[in-house]
Amino acid sequence: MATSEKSTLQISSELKNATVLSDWVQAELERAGIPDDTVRDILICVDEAFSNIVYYGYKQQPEGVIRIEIAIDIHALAVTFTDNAEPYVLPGDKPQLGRALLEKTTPGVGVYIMRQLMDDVRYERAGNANYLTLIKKMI
Amino acid sequence: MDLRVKVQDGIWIVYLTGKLDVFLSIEAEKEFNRLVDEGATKIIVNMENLTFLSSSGLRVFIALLKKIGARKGQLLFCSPPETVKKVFQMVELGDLFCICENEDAALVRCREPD
Repeated sequence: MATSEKSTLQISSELKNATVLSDWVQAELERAGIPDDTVRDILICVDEAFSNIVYYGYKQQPEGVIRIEIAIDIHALAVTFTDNAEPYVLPGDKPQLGRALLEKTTPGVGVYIMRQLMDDVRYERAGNANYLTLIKKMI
Repeated sequence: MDLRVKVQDGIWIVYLTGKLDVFLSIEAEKEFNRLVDEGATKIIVNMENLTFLSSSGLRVFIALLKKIGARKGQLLFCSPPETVKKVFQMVELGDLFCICENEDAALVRCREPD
Protein backbone atom coordinates (compact mmCIF):
# COMPACT_ATOMS: atom_id res chain seq x y z
CA MET A 1 0.00 0.00 0.00
CA ALA A 2 1.30 3.46 -0.85
CA THR A 3 1.80 6.01 1.93
CA SER A 4 -1.43 7.75 1.04
CA GLU A 5 -4.07 6.87 -1.54
CA LYS A 6 -7.20 8.74 -2.55
CA SER A 7 -9.99 7.75 -4.91
CA THR A 8 -13.22 9.55 -5.67
CA LEU A 9 -16.57 8.69 -7.18
CA GLN A 10 -19.46 11.01 -8.01
CA ILE A 11 -22.97 9.61 -8.34
CA SER A 12 -26.50 10.92 -8.43
CA SER A 13 -28.89 10.42 -5.52
CA GLU A 14 -30.72 7.49 -7.08
CA LEU A 15 -31.17 4.37 -4.97
CA LYS A 16 -30.00 2.16 -7.81
CA ASN A 17 -26.54 3.72 -7.36
CA ALA A 18 -26.18 1.90 -4.03
CA THR A 19 -24.90 -1.11 -5.92
CA VAL A 20 -22.57 0.98 -8.12
CA LEU A 21 -21.20 2.54 -4.93
CA SER A 22 -20.66 -0.68 -2.99
CA ASP A 23 -19.01 -2.36 -5.99
CA TRP A 24 -16.64 0.60 -6.34
CA VAL A 25 -15.82 0.75 -2.60
CA GLN A 26 -15.24 -2.99 -2.48
CA ALA A 27 -12.90 -2.87 -5.49
CA GLU A 28 -10.93 0.06 -4.07
CA LEU A 29 -10.52 -1.50 -0.63
CA GLU A 30 -9.56 -4.90 -1.99
CA ARG A 31 -7.04 -3.25 -4.31
CA ALA A 32 -5.55 -1.53 -1.25
CA GLY A 33 -5.27 -4.87 0.56
CA ILE A 34 -7.81 -4.13 3.28
CA PRO A 35 -8.83 -7.33 5.16
CA ASP A 36 -12.15 -8.91 4.11
CA ASP A 37 -13.83 -8.41 7.50
CA THR A 38 -13.00 -4.72 7.48
CA VAL A 39 -14.19 -4.38 3.88
CA ARG A 40 -17.56 -5.89 4.81
CA ASP A 41 -17.96 -3.60 7.83
CA ILE A 42 -17.20 -0.59 5.66
CA LEU A 43 -19.62 -1.72 2.94
CA ILE A 44 -22.41 -1.86 5.53
CA CYS A 45 -21.60 1.66 6.75
CA VAL A 46 -21.29 3.04 3.22
CA ASP A 47 -24.75 1.67 2.44
CA GLU A 48 -26.16 3.23 5.62
CA ALA A 49 -24.61 6.61 4.81
CA PHE A 50 -25.76 6.55 1.18
CA SER A 51 -29.34 5.56 2.04
CA ASN A 52 -29.56 8.29 4.71
CA ILE A 53 -28.40 10.94 2.21
CA VAL A 54 -30.83 9.72 -0.47
CA TYR A 55 -33.86 9.29 1.82
CA TYR A 56 -33.42 12.06 4.38
CA GLY A 57 -31.05 14.48 2.66
CA TYR A 58 -32.26 14.59 -0.91
CA LYS A 59 -35.67 13.08 -0.01
CA GLN A 60 -35.34 10.68 -2.95
CA GLN A 61 -35.01 13.48 -5.52
CA PRO A 62 -32.78 11.76 -8.10
CA GLU A 63 -30.90 14.85 -9.31
CA GLY A 64 -28.85 15.33 -6.13
CA VAL A 65 -25.10 14.84 -6.36
CA ILE A 66 -23.10 12.73 -3.93
CA ARG A 67 -19.32 12.68 -3.99
CA ILE A 68 -17.48 9.89 -2.19
CA GLU A 69 -13.79 9.97 -1.41
CA ILE A 70 -11.78 7.09 0.00
CA ALA A 71 -8.48 8.08 1.63
CA ILE A 72 -6.15 5.40 2.93
CA ASP A 73 -2.84 5.76 4.71
CA ILE A 74 -0.97 3.52 7.11
CA HIS A 75 -2.90 4.86 10.11
CA ALA A 76 -6.50 5.00 8.94
CA LEU A 77 -9.05 4.61 6.22
CA ALA A 78 -11.57 7.39 5.71
CA VAL A 79 -14.64 7.42 3.50
CA THR A 80 -16.08 10.92 3.10
CA PHE A 81 -19.52 11.64 1.64
CA THR A 82 -20.17 15.15 0.36
CA ASP A 83 -23.64 16.29 -0.59
CA ASN A 84 -25.53 19.55 -1.01
CA ALA A 85 -28.77 18.56 0.68
CA GLU A 86 -30.13 20.34 3.75
CA PRO A 87 -27.95 20.30 6.89
CA TYR A 88 -28.74 17.64 9.47
CA VAL A 89 -27.79 16.53 12.95
CA LEU A 90 -26.27 13.12 13.53
CA PRO A 91 -28.24 11.40 16.28
CA GLY A 92 -26.00 10.70 19.25
CA ASP A 93 -28.27 8.64 21.47
CA LYS A 94 -28.69 4.91 21.16
CA PRO A 95 -31.94 4.31 19.26
CA GLN A 96 -34.64 1.95 20.41
CA LEU A 97 -33.59 -1.50 19.28
CA GLY A 98 -34.75 -5.10 19.65
CA ARG A 99 -38.50 -5.53 20.00
CA ALA A 100 -39.07 -1.82 19.32
CA LEU A 101 -37.86 -2.39 15.76
CA LEU A 102 -40.61 -4.96 15.29
CA GLU A 103 -43.26 -2.57 16.51
CA LYS A 104 -42.39 0.69 14.76
CA THR A 105 -39.88 2.44 12.54
CA THR A 106 -37.20 3.78 14.85
CA PRO A 107 -34.91 6.53 13.52
CA GLY A 108 -31.15 6.49 13.93
CA VAL A 109 -30.52 2.77 13.45
CA GLY A 110 -28.24 3.34 10.43
CA VAL A 111 -26.12 5.90 12.28
CA TYR A 112 -25.96 3.61 15.30
CA ILE A 113 -24.66 0.77 13.11
CA MET A 114 -22.07 3.11 11.60
CA ARG A 115 -20.89 4.17 15.05
CA GLN A 116 -20.62 0.55 16.17
CA LEU A 117 -18.61 -0.61 13.17
CA MET A 118 -16.38 2.42 12.63
CA ASP A 119 -13.84 3.99 14.98
CA ASP A 120 -15.24 7.44 14.33
CA VAL A 121 -18.16 9.01 12.44
CA ARG A 122 -17.85 12.76 11.88
CA TYR A 123 -20.29 15.26 10.43
CA GLU A 124 -19.49 18.77 9.33
CA ARG A 125 -21.45 21.45 7.49
CA ALA A 126 -19.35 23.88 5.47
CA GLY A 127 -20.74 26.31 2.93
CA ASN A 128 -23.71 24.58 1.38
CA ALA A 129 -22.28 21.09 1.73
CA ASN A 130 -22.59 18.26 4.21
CA TYR A 131 -19.47 16.22 4.93
CA LEU A 132 -19.91 12.83 6.57
CA THR A 133 -16.71 10.92 7.25
CA LEU A 134 -16.42 7.30 8.33
CA ILE A 135 -13.06 6.46 9.86
CA LYS A 136 -11.52 3.07 10.52
CA LYS A 137 -8.12 2.87 12.17
CA MET A 138 -5.64 0.65 10.44
CA ILE A 139 -3.34 0.04 13.40
CA MET B 1 -27.82 -9.97 -5.07
CA ASP B 2 -29.30 -13.18 -6.28
CA LEU B 3 -32.39 -14.79 -4.78
CA ARG B 4 -33.20 -18.41 -5.54
CA VAL B 5 -36.02 -20.47 -4.10
CA LYS B 6 -36.39 -24.19 -3.51
CA VAL B 7 -39.64 -25.63 -2.20
CA GLN B 8 -39.23 -28.79 -0.15
CA ASP B 9 -42.10 -30.49 1.70
CA GLY B 10 -44.06 -27.26 1.99
CA ILE B 11 -41.04 -25.27 3.15
CA TRP B 12 -39.76 -22.41 0.99
CA ILE B 13 -35.96 -22.24 1.23
CA VAL B 14 -34.66 -18.90 -0.05
CA TYR B 15 -30.97 -18.64 -0.95
CA LEU B 16 -29.70 -15.07 -0.78
CA THR B 17 -26.38 -14.41 -2.45
CA GLY B 18 -24.35 -11.20 -2.62
CA LYS B 19 -25.04 -7.79 -1.15
CA LEU B 20 -28.36 -6.84 0.32
CA ASP B 21 -27.92 -3.09 -0.06
CA VAL B 22 -30.60 -0.40 0.12
CA PHE B 23 -31.54 -0.79 -3.55
CA LEU B 24 -31.43 -4.58 -3.72
CA SER B 25 -33.42 -4.78 -0.49
CA ILE B 26 -36.35 -3.31 -2.38
CA GLU B 27 -36.01 -6.05 -4.99
CA ALA B 28 -35.72 -8.71 -2.28
CA GLU B 29 -38.83 -7.40 -0.52
CA LYS B 30 -40.85 -7.68 -3.74
CA GLU B 31 -39.70 -11.29 -4.14
CA PHE B 32 -40.54 -12.18 -0.53
CA ASN B 33 -43.97 -10.57 -0.90
CA ARG B 34 -44.55 -12.61 -4.04
CA LEU B 35 -43.66 -15.83 -2.20
CA VAL B 36 -46.05 -15.02 0.63
CA ASP B 37 -48.79 -14.14 -1.86
CA GLU B 38 -48.19 -17.51 -3.52
CA GLY B 39 -48.87 -19.19 -0.20
CA ALA B 40 -45.49 -19.57 1.48
CA THR B 41 -46.03 -19.79 5.22
CA LYS B 42 -42.85 -21.63 6.19
CA ILE B 43 -39.75 -19.85 4.94
CA ILE B 44 -36.09 -20.52 5.63
CA VAL B 45 -33.70 -17.77 4.50
CA ASN B 46 -30.29 -19.30 3.84
CA MET B 47 -27.76 -16.49 4.31
CA GLU B 48 -24.60 -18.53 3.77
CA ASN B 49 -23.55 -16.50 0.72
CA LEU B 50 -24.86 -13.13 1.82
CA THR B 51 -21.95 -10.68 1.67
CA PHE B 52 -23.52 -8.00 3.80
CA LEU B 53 -26.73 -6.85 5.33
CA SER B 54 -27.52 -3.25 6.29
CA SER B 55 -30.51 -1.80 8.15
CA SER B 56 -32.45 -1.75 4.85
CA GLY B 57 -32.15 -5.53 4.64
CA LEU B 58 -33.10 -5.88 8.29
CA ARG B 59 -36.28 -3.90 7.62
CA VAL B 60 -37.17 -6.35 4.83
CA PHE B 61 -36.79 -9.26 7.26
CA ILE B 62 -38.83 -7.45 9.93
CA ALA B 63 -41.66 -6.83 7.42
CA LEU B 64 -41.49 -10.47 6.33
CA LEU B 65 -41.59 -11.69 9.93
CA LYS B 66 -44.78 -9.68 10.49
CA LYS B 67 -46.42 -11.00 7.33
CA ILE B 68 -45.55 -14.61 8.14
CA GLY B 69 -46.58 -14.11 11.76
CA ALA B 70 -49.99 -12.79 10.67
CA ARG B 71 -50.46 -16.03 8.74
CA LYS B 72 -49.36 -18.14 11.74
CA GLY B 73 -46.39 -19.32 9.71
CA GLN B 74 -42.71 -19.70 10.46
CA LEU B 75 -39.71 -17.65 9.37
CA LEU B 76 -36.25 -19.00 10.08
CA PHE B 77 -32.79 -17.94 9.07
CA CYS B 78 -29.74 -20.14 8.71
CA SER B 79 -26.01 -20.13 8.08
CA PRO B 80 -25.35 -16.43 8.69
CA PRO B 81 -21.77 -15.29 8.03
CA GLU B 82 -20.13 -13.56 11.02
CA THR B 83 -20.69 -10.09 9.50
CA VAL B 84 -24.41 -10.72 9.13
CA LYS B 85 -24.71 -12.32 12.58
CA LYS B 86 -22.97 -9.29 14.06
CA VAL B 87 -25.55 -6.89 12.57
CA PHE B 88 -28.46 -8.94 13.99
CA GLN B 89 -26.83 -8.89 17.44
CA MET B 90 -25.93 -5.19 17.19
CA VAL B 91 -29.55 -4.15 16.75
CA GLU B 92 -30.64 -6.67 19.40
CA LEU B 93 -32.70 -8.78 17.02
CA GLY B 94 -30.56 -11.89 17.40
CA ASP B 95 -32.88 -13.38 20.01
CA LEU B 96 -36.11 -12.27 18.34
CA PHE B 97 -35.39 -13.99 15.04
CA CYS B 98 -34.94 -17.73 14.83
CA ILE B 99 -31.41 -18.12 13.47
CA CYS B 100 -30.12 -21.67 12.99
CA GLU B 101 -26.54 -22.78 12.52
CA ASN B 102 -27.22 -24.48 9.19
CA GLU B 103 -30.01 -25.44 6.79
CA ASP B 104 -30.50 -28.94 8.21
CA ALA B 105 -31.06 -27.53 11.70
CA ALA B 106 -33.56 -25.01 10.28
CA LEU B 107 -35.43 -27.77 8.44
CA VAL B 108 -35.66 -29.85 11.64
CA ARG B 109 -36.94 -26.80 13.51
CA CYS B 110 -39.47 -26.06 10.78
CA ARG B 111 -40.84 -29.60 10.87
CA GLU B 112 -41.38 -29.61 14.60
CA PRO B 113 -45.06 -29.67 15.51
CA ASP B 114 -46.51 -26.22 16.31
